Amino acid sequence: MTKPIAATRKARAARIGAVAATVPDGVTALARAIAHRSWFAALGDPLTDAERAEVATYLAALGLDDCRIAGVATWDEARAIASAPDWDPRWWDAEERERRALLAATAAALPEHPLMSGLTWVAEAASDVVHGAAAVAAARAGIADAALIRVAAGAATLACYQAGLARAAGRGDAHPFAVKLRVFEGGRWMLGIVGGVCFVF
Amino acid sequence: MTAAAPQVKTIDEFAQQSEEYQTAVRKIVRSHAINELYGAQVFDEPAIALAPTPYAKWLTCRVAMEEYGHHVRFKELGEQIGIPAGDLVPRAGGKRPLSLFDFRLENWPEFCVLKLLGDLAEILQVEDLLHCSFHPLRNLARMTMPEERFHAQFGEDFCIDLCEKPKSRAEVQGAVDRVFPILPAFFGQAGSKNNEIYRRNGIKLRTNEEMRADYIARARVLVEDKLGLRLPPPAQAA
Repeated sequence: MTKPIAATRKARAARIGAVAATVPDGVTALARAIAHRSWFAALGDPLTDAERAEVATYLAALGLDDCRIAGVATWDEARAIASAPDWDPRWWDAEERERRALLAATAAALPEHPLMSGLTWVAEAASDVVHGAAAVAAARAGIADAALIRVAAGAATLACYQAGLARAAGRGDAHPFAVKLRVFEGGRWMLGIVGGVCFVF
Repeated sequence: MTAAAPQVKTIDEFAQQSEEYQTAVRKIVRSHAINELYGAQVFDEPAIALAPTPYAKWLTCRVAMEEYGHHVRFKELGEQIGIPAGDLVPRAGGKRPLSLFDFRLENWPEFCVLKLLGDLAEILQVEDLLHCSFHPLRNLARMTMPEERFHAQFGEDFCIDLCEKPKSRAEVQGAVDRVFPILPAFFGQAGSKNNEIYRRNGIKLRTNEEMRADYIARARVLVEDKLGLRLPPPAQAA
């Protein structure tokens, strides 16, 4: 039974190699770095001044600088905030507008296939890594909620995809998607805005 | 499954099997590769925008990635057993997708019902491969099954939540009425020659008719017993 596994690895390596040869360098670097980040390692810790500054930069870039920033201490609180029926959709809508603008910008500058291959590569790489990291973080906190772990993994995967798109469009480190990814890479989970407060776990 | 069915443990052993066996396995792998990708593209990705909260949106993101991951795994296996890469993705003029994918997804309750009932159908298909004579395909089925079960549970959990309020309960019933009739066709025609070949070679266990009947029975338990809703009559669904 070793042959199929070896063949699968070989096929995957060949596929990644083919993708890497065609996608923008920044996207390639992002995909390769995903396995080496501190996903969900700082959940529940008090926010540092530097982290608050990053989140403030992200909010200002999306036109949401009227929001306060608050830390979240537990997975149960995180679940409640992420599923609050009165959540403020402005940040999601602003991200979606920016995502569509970046797709339009990249469509003018890049062939569709390498772009989509690169972003798929980023999302695949993230999907494999962040789910395991979220499960470990949850287990350390005594949480065995399979759905909530997947929710966290979905949020981090989306952050990776968005940052990959920003890089493909040639945007720099100050872009809100780049800032958001740095917050996740630092071990956090940005939960969104409820009642004028941006919550970070 | 007959006693004479082969147990094919490796890709090398697969290459030594009859043409009938190889063709049969390729058909199943190709079908799964295409349908997993179709499902992610047509339902899961669009549903992210329909989801009502960040929790539901991120969970749907994750489900979409897992369905896409299933496609990737079936595609890799397909390429190993000699299926051209272009035949393992949806394309114009290629293998016709399931009629389920013609369904136009318009709201969140519909997506939850698709997960509840559509992924139940997928679970039955994957269950039938858990003892498949082609071990790489059997192992792939065993690998994807926990995630398929989670996706169906996702549909069940959100449908239960929606059924707590009269308005959204009516929306779930409407979605069941629209979605369920499409699904029994997912199991193929009665008296299928392909299915007979699959069973003769130990690739699948049950007839299309047996699987369809089991599906309707299990869907009835979910819809009528767990949700307290009405399942369209089987005659209407056939």
